Amino acid sequence: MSADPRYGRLDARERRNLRELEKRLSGSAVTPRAVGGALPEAVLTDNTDRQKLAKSIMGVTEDAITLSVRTDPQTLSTALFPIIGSAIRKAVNKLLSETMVRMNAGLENTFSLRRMAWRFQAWRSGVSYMEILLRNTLVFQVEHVFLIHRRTGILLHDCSRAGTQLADKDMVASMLTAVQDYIRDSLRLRRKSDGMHTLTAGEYSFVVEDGPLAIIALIVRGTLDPSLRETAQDALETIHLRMTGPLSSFSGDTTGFAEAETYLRPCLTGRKRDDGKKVPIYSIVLISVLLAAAAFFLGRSVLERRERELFIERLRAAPGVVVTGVTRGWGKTVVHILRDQDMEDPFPGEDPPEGLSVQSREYLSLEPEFVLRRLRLILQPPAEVSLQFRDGVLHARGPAPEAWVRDRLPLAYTAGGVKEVRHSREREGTPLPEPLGSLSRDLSLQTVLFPADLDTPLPGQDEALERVRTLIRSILRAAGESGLSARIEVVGHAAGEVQDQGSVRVSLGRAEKIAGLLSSRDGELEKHLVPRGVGTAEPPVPETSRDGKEKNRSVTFRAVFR
Amino acid sequence: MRMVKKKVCLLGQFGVGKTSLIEKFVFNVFSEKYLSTIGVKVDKKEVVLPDGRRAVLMVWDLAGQEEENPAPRAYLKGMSGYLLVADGTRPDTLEMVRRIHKTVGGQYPDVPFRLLINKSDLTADWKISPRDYEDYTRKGVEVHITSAKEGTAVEDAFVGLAGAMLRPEGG
Repeated sequence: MSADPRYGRLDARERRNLRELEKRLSGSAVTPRAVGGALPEAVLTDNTDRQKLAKSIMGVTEDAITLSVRTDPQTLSTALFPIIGSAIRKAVNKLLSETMVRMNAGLENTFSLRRMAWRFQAWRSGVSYMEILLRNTLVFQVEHVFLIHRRTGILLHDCSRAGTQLADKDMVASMLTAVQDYIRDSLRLRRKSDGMHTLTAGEYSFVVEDGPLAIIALIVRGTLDPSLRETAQDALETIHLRMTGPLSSFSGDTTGFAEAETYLRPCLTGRKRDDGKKVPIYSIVLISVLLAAAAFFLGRSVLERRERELFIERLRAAPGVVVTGVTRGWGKTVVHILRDQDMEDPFPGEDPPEGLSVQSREYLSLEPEFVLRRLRLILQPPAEVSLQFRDGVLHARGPAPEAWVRDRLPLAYTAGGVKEVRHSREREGTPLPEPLGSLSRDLSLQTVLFPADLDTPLPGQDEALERVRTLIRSILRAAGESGLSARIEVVGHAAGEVQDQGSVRVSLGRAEKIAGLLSSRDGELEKHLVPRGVGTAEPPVPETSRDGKEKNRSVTFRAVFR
Repeated sequence: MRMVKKKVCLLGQFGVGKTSLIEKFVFNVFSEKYLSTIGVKVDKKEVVLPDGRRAVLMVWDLAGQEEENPAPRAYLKGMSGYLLVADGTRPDTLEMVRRIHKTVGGQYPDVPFRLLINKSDLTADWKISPRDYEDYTRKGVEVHITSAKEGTAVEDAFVGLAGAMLRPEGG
C-alpha cells in the first residue's frame, strides 16, 4: 500500500482513514474477539432489533439444547433442577386447587333434587356422574375483561358483553388494583403472584391474574369456573409476549393497546346450564313415561288377572273337569284339576292365559255325557242301536244281534256310574214334543216286579203302580194337548233264556193283571191300555245274574203315539 | 385526539379537607368509607390543558397521613403526580406536608406535585402566611390557595399538575 505513488498526494488524515478502511475490508477487524465484544451491545439495542435477534437465534438455540441433551443430559437437568421442582409444585397446586373448587361446588349440590336429575342424565348418557356433576355446576358468564397496567392501576383496555352495565371502568380498574395492593400489604405477601386471585360478591366474582407488567381481571357472573384462570393466564401471557414494549414504556397513552382486544375477547367466555330448561322437559317426559309404564303394567296386570279368573271359571263349568284348588303366587297362578280320562284337553287349541298353568290328574267322570262316551267306546253298538244314559240307567234301543245283547251289552256296567241296563228292539223314533218325551221316557223306566211263575205283583209294588198310573194320566193329557192319540202298551216279561208257551202265558198274564189293576184304579185308562206278553224275547235287562232274572220277571210300559 | 391517563395521588394530614376539596371537581362512584377501610378511594378527573390537550386523571385519594401512619407505598407506585394538601388554619398540617414530601419526594424525585393550602374561606382563622411555605415557592413549586367550600383554585391545581405531568411526553 505504501508503495502506491498516489498515496503521496493524500494528506495525513486521508491516509489514516484509507488505512482504516482497507483494514476493515480485509476482514482483520471482524475477529471472534470483536464479535464477542459487539454481541452484548447488539442484544441490548432497542426492542425491534431484540425481537429480530431472538427470532434469528431461536433455531440455533433449539439445536444447541437438543445437542446438549444428546451429549450429556446431566448438564441441562442440573441447570433446570432449581426451577423444575417449583414449576411442578405450582402445576400440582393449581390442579388441586381447581379440583377442590369443583368438588366443593359438587358437594353443595349433593343433597338436592337436581342431583337426582344429574344421576339420571349420567345414566342416560353413559357419562360418569362426577363428570356430569362438574359440567352442571360450572355455570358462569364473563361479563367484562379488564387489562390493567400493573404499576399505575390504569385501565389499558377492556371489552365486555353487549348490554352489560358497569360503573366507571377506569375507576373500577384502579380500585381493583388498590384492593389487591391492600390485601397484599395487609397479609404481608411478598411475592407478586401471591396476591388476590378471586373476589366474590353476590352473584359476581372477580378473577384476577397477575403478570409482571399487566393484570387481567374478569368480572364473572355465576359460579366460578377454574378454567377461567387458565383462560386469563393464556391471554395475559400472550399480551406480555406481544406487547412487552408498550407495557414497559407505558406513560398514560392507552391508544396503543387496542390490539389487546384480540387477546381479551376470548376471555368473554361462558357456559350456560343446559339443564335449565331441558331438565324439566326431561323430567316431564320421564314422569310421563313412568306413569304410562305404571298404568300399562297395572292395566295389563288387572286384565291378565281377570283373564285368569275367567279361565278358571270356565274350567269349573267345563264337563269332565273338577277344579280341586287354585294356588296364587308372585306372577304365577296354578290351577289343580281332575280331568276325565277320556278328555284330552278341556279347551282344545287354546293355551292358558299368561301366568297361569294347569296341573291335571285323570279321574272317572260320572257325568252322563262322559259315561255315555265311555259306553260307546266299550259297547261299540250296532249302527241301528242308539244309547241313552240317564239317572244311572242305560237305554239301548234298536234291533241288535242276540250275541251283542248277550255278550257285549252287560259290559256297560264297567263304564262306571251305570246302575241298570235296558234294551228294547224298537228304534228311537221321531223325538216327541215336551213334556210328552220326558213323560214317555219316565214311563219306560217304570217296572212292576213279580215272583217267579206268578202273575201277581210282588208285595210293595203299589207305589210303583200308582206312579205308573199318574204318568199314564199325564201322558194322555199331554198327548191330547199335542193333538196326538196315545195307547199304552203294558208289556209282560218272563225270566229265562228259553221262550216257550209257558213264559209267554205267564208274561201275558202279568200284563193283563197290571192293566186290570190300573183300570180298576182309574177307569179312564182302560181303553188306552194294551196288554202284551213277550215272554223272554225282550228282556228289560241282560240276564247275567240273579238280579237280572228278578228284574226280568216284570211288566214294563211303553207309550205309542199316532 | 388521543386521551392520556395519569395516576395522581392526593396526600395530606387527616382533616385537611382533601376529600371535600376535590369532591365537586371529580367523578366519583365510590363511597368515602373506602378511605377508612382500605385507606384509599379512587376518583376520576378529566382536564383540558390550555393547549387543548386532554387528560384523564385517576385521583387516588389516600386516607389522611399521620406521623405513625404514612401513605402506603403500594398506593403510590406508578403515580405521575401528586397534590400535597395542608390546612391554612392549622400550621401543623404544613409540617406534616413537609414530612410527607420528604418521604414521597425521596421515593419519586422526578414526579411533579403541587402544594394546596386549603380553607381560604376561613380568613379569620388563617394561621399560615406565604413566609411559612416560601421554602417551596423558592424551589418553583406552585402553591394554590384553595377553598373546598367555594371551589377556589382547585381546577387550576389539577390543570397545572396535568400540564407538568404531560410536558415531558407530550411536549
